[in-house]
Amino acid sequence: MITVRIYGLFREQCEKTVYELEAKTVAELLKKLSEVTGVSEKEWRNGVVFVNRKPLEWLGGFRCRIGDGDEVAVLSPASGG
Amino acid sequence: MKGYADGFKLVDLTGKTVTDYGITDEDKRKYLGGKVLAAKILSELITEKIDAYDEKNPIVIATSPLTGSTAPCSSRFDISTVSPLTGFVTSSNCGGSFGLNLKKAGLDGLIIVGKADELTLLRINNGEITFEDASSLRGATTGEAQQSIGGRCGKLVIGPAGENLVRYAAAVSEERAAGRNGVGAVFGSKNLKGITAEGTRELEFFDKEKFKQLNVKWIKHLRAHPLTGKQLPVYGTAGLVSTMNYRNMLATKNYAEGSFEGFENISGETLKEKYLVKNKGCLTCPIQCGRQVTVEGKTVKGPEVETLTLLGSNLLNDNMQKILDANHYCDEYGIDTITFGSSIGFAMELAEKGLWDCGLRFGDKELDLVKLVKDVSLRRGIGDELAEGTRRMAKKFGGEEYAINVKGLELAAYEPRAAQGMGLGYAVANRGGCHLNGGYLVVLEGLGLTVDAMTTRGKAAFAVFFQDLMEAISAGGSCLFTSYAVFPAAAVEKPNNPIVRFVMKVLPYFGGIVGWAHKNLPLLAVNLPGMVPYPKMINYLTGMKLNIGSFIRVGERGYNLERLLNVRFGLTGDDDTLPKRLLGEKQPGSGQYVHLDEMKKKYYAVRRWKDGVPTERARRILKI
Repeated sequence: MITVRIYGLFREQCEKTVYELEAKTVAELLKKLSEVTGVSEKEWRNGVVFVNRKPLEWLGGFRCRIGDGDEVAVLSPASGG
Repeated sequence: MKGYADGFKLVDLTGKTVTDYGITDEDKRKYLGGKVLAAKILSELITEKIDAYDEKNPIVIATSPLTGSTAPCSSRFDISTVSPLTGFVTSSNCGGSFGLNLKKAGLDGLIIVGKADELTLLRINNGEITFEDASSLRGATTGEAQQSIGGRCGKLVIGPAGENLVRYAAAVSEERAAGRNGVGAVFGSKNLKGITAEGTRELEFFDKEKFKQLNVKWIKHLRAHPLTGKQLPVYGTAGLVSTMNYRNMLATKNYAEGSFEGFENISGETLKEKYLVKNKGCLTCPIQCGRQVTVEGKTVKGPEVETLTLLGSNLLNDNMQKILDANHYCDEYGIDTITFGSSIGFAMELAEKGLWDCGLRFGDKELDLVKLVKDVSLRRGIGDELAEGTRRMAKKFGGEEYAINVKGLELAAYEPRAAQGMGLGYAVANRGGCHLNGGYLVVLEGLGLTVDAMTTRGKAAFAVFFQDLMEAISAGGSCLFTSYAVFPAAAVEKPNNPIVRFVMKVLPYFGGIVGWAHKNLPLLAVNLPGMVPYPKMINYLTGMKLNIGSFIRVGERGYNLERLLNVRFGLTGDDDTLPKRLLGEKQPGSGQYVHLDEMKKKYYAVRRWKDGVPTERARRILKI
């Protein structure tokens, strides 16, 4: 399971602040996040993502591989890109 | 000139005299108003180094052309004086209603010198100034004093901290503070409890119709922009806490670290979800970033990001209610939350290292912040030492390398080792460790845009550009938050878009071009009112002929004038530095320290400064 923490304006659109999901890449995780929250995948892909506290741009972008026990934070872009 | 009131008055508290202080139309064109015009006045009045508490130290309270004009976020005014914290010239900006009312009372500003025999209240009514005994207000909090004064006039008062010369005492208008650098203590040193202003003067417009039309467009733009229309109204500045934490920019444990395990409890999200009563902004503000929360059953002003950080993560305190309580009492007793929090954090580290047995420790669940506010304000017990700020505490107890100040002013909430440009800004800022006076490059470096925060490339030129733009915006009379809307919405909202990512990646390489453009501002003789509306707004109000280039030049002129004043006070390039912790200790989160020297050299070159001092050529170009 991957723990997904939601911050910023995304919180206004989600019922929960933390989700537990399974995925192999960040791209897949955001797709699943879209399914459980109803927020479009496009919007999630505009989010600022950190995997285990490291910014996604350091980890190769949406194709970054993730696994059991990882923690992913998704912040709305306007909360400080 | 239209857009202005009837000039400045010079008030001598010693002799209880009031005289006119001449400001020409040419002065208005060169300096606009606010802190830039104040710097011009201070440079005329201060001819040699004086102490902040010297009777001759002038307090200049200046409004700006846009003050009272109904332009968005324009209920601002500035207080400039010699700071008791830094010993240099400082300015502090406030959003309370005093500035609007000062202009309605017929004055663009006030210059206050001398020292009253007894605690005094200045009353301004339609240009007439009277001196009133304020002995009955001695010891009154800012709320009590304003309530006691009553009426619908604009009020600007100090609390007990100002009376007791706490070096970071604030002056407060309604719930808004001119907080930084101890302007309230200078009020106290003059036995000045406060000032009221009221009047019926109407502002005249050069072209009211065009002003109104652009005003409507500007308000629409601010409301539609992702930062000023969504983020700030929903979360306030507190909304930055989470991002700062993830980007290792959240000052933690006296700046030893850049992230805090308990950050969620002090975040903007938690503030909104559990504590927010309603939003409340300054007058004429469409952004409404101010928070209202509950303290002791009353609805009061909530904290900004700086307060959440300095009283939260910086002390390893994750108790939001304690921060809300302390924030309220800081306003009531009249002290700056940033220097207060930083002084406590420094004291905790001194205690941890066995240098001062003050009884304070990081992460103490029993920490009584409200008691500390009162102890500092009344100079009781350890509060008497904390009231001096970190630089003076370090001189007494040691620990200079982790006394987190620049030129004596404590740094704001942003940990600069993970934001190189912000590190440069803190180091070179005229008024000391101030994020805004430093150019606020964290907004580019991860809190608004996604420019690489770790690179030093281009940061010098961007720092100069944004410092001068923000100086000009302040001189014109607008809140600096309006400058967020200068950034294209798409660049903020779509950081992962390939084009945006490319632009952010190459932006630092444009530092040379930005620096060149800044040196050749007359080439920017254009107006883009949809993006940078300030010059046009001022033109429609006053009849001036400003464009983007000449507008930024006003800011540049002010920045250089302040610098020259500080040089008169003994400032050199050696003062443009950072605490050793930030220059020599690698941050645990990012593995970085601030690479200051290489940026500083470039910064001076863009500014045409030598060893931190404006050259003759710079002075000639700026006509100062």
